[in-house]
Amino acid sequence: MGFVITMVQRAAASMTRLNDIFDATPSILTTDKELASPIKGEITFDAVRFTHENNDKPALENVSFTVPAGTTFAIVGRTGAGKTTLVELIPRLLDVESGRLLIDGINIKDIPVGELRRAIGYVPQDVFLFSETLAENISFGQLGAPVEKIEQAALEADILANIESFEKGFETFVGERGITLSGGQKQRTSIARALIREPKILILDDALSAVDVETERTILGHLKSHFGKRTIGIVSHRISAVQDADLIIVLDDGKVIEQGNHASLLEEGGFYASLFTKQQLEKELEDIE
Amino acid sequence: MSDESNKGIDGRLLKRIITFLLPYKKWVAVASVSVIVAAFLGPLLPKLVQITIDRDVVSGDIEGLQKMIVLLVILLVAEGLLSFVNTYLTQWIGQQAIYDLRKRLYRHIQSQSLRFFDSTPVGRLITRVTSDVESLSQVLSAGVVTILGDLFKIIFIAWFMFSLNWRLALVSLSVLPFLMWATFWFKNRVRVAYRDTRKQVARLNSFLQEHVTGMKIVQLFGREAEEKERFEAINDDHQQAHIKTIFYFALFFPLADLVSSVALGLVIWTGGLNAMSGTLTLGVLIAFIQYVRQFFEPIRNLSDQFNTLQSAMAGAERIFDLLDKDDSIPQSDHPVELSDVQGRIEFKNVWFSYDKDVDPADDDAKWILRDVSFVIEPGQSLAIVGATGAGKTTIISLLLRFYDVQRGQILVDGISISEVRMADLRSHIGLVLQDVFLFSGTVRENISLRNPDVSDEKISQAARLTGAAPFIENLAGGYDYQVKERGISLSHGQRQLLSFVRTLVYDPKILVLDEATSSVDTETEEVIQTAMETLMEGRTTVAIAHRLSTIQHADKILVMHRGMVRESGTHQQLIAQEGLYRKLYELQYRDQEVAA
Repeated sequence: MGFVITMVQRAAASMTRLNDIFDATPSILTTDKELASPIKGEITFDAVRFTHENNDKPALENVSFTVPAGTTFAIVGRTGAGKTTLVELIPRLLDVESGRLLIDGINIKDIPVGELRRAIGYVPQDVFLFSETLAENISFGQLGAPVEKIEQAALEADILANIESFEKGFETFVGERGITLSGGQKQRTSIARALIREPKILILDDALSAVDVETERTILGHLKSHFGKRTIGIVSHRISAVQDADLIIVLDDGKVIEQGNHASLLEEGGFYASLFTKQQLEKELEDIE
Repeated sequence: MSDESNKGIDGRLLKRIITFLLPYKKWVAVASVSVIVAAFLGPLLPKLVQITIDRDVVSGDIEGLQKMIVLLVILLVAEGLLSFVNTYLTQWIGQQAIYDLRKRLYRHIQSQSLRFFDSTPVGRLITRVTSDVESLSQVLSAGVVTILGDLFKIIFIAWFMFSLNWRLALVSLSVLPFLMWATFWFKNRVRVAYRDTRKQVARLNSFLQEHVTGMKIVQLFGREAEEKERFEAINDDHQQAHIKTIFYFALFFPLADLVSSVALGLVIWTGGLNAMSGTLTLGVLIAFIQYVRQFFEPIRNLSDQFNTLQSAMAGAERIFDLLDKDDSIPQSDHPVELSDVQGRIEFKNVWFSYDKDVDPADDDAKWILRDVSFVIEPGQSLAIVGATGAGKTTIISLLLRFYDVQRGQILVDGISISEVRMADLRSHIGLVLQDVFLFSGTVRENISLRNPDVSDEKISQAARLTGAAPFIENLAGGYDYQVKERGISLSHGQRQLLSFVRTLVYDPKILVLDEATSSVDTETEEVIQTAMETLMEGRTTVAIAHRLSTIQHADKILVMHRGMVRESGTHQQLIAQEGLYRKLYELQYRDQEVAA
């Protein structure tokens, strides 16, 4: 009898904890409205402000810019400037606090979340792959994709040659049960997973940090082949990754401090220009034997 | 996880487990004796009942009956007491042994060099110290002694039965072969079923772990529905596996009961016939009925014990693997005591690689440091500068002897640090890192590191000197302010200041600084600046410099590039050289000049 009472007490405590989880309400709400036409990829930030939970200081404040569909934009800035937060707003991983975020001129909150995310290929900063085969990981982006499409995506992400060099090729397991991929290989697999969706909007959040400059150039070259058909957002620390973008946005402390293209920003002689000089110097240092 | 089921009981491993009981061998002996006595008392009771009935009841000896009843009561009480002693003592011994084992594991982990931690995942270490040790506790506590008790119980019961009536004994044991076979069959099935369940639990866990960690990906790619289906499939397999285990259990226990009931039936039948024909006394028949009941219990227990033993073996093996892997820094057999230090530091042709199998003679190996030499005189300051990966952090890790060098020597006051007692060496060096590690506790505890020798006056004095006092006193509760979750409630600058106070309180002769790169506001910057000057006064300082003022005030600057010392001198000298330092200066420090 005493034993039963203890058991019931324990179960009650567990139930309380379970209820805490069940009772949590989803914070991102979808809409019943339907889209008149498929997403084209124009992105507009209009005085966007966002504050992370348990934080007094906004992570983004008064951020405004427009990216026409099919063009490339880039975001640079120090660590903690709000770059990741900015791009996380686009697939609604986070919701804007005030101001508006528009896709093709429609407020993002009036677009069904599923629809929105289907149009987006996202490569997060912290690469996450599942302990499954490389093929499964890449086709996670598009369920049931044919082999040719998987290979095409791998080729564009410059990981095809690596995969083919593995004994089991695309059937190689990732993680504990299989091989340990290098940071760069993981990033490129994660890029392939986004590319296979043939997204209207492609976001690379510092997704080229672990690859060398040569590979970076190859991948960016492949992305350019879709010029005009896809809006691309690149977050990076490296000037080399962003210099060809149509619009470069410099964030500092959650605010846009400069925007323009490579040439105009260099001329401006601000943060971007000094970052450029520094990276030139860094390269020079690296070349010293 | 799946390997444990294929292993039998490894004698060598068992022996090693038993060594943990050696310090308590006296108590183990006591427990063993008491278990054996208890094993004897159990079967003794039916025997006494038999005597009572056949001798006293049949002859109507009331006085004899009373005596026997008193004796039986005494024996029952004694058995109860012994059972208490056994349970308590065996668990006590087991917990002592577990305590020792855990202590030993912790000490082993603590003594490892950073090289060990570079290559061993933290999660694995925690599993070893917690759940693997726990799995051993079963064996170390009840396991060994209980097995002994059960074996003796079987022997005693058999002995009593055969001495009473060997024919009836044979009849009651006739079902034994079938019971053995059933137990064996059950054990095999259950082992397979258990293995399957564990596999399914592991699958469920890893799926959950991955899909919760990767929830961002699942949501981004709109795969919620598909992943839910996959989860349901795994959940289903898990349920099936579990139900299968239960099926075998549900089958086995009634079956075992049935077998022992058959034995009981046989005893009553043949025994009853014999009693009617007068070849058997009623007392013997009653005793046998009890023996049949008693006999099957230890047999069932033994097969259970065997299972626990098996799974404990797997845990033991992993624990011993960890204990046998030693990557600790070798201590000198006759360490030099370093009671007083002047603070002269010398690196003499130091070569170092994180690869411990590197060939020391091979100049072309993957060296992180190559032929690094420098001297800092007592009280002087050295600033190390260089690009990322130049080997700056490695230099301070070596000075604190987190790793041993492969070639060359590091000397403190002219004595090689490999000859010095490690605790002495580190007690003279104050380390201030970029990432200040604060633990949960009060500000005071974070400063004193719970060392009772650090008085409150010393703490407040150090806080005043470093300029941290105003901010600490402004916290709710001042020095008793509770630092939560590694100090997230404090700003970066405040955490820096706390680490300065912590260092000053211990008053080291040598100061090692890894300056923070992240910028703080101008006001805090000024406070930190003053604090640093206080801290560096009269101490030999080695700094990985990120602040312009630190390099400008350093007595000597060491310019590292690709693991080698490329330039050295004062700020002015190096700037004039127009070399590597000049470029680094432009890259890393120039901005601060504008800002300041």
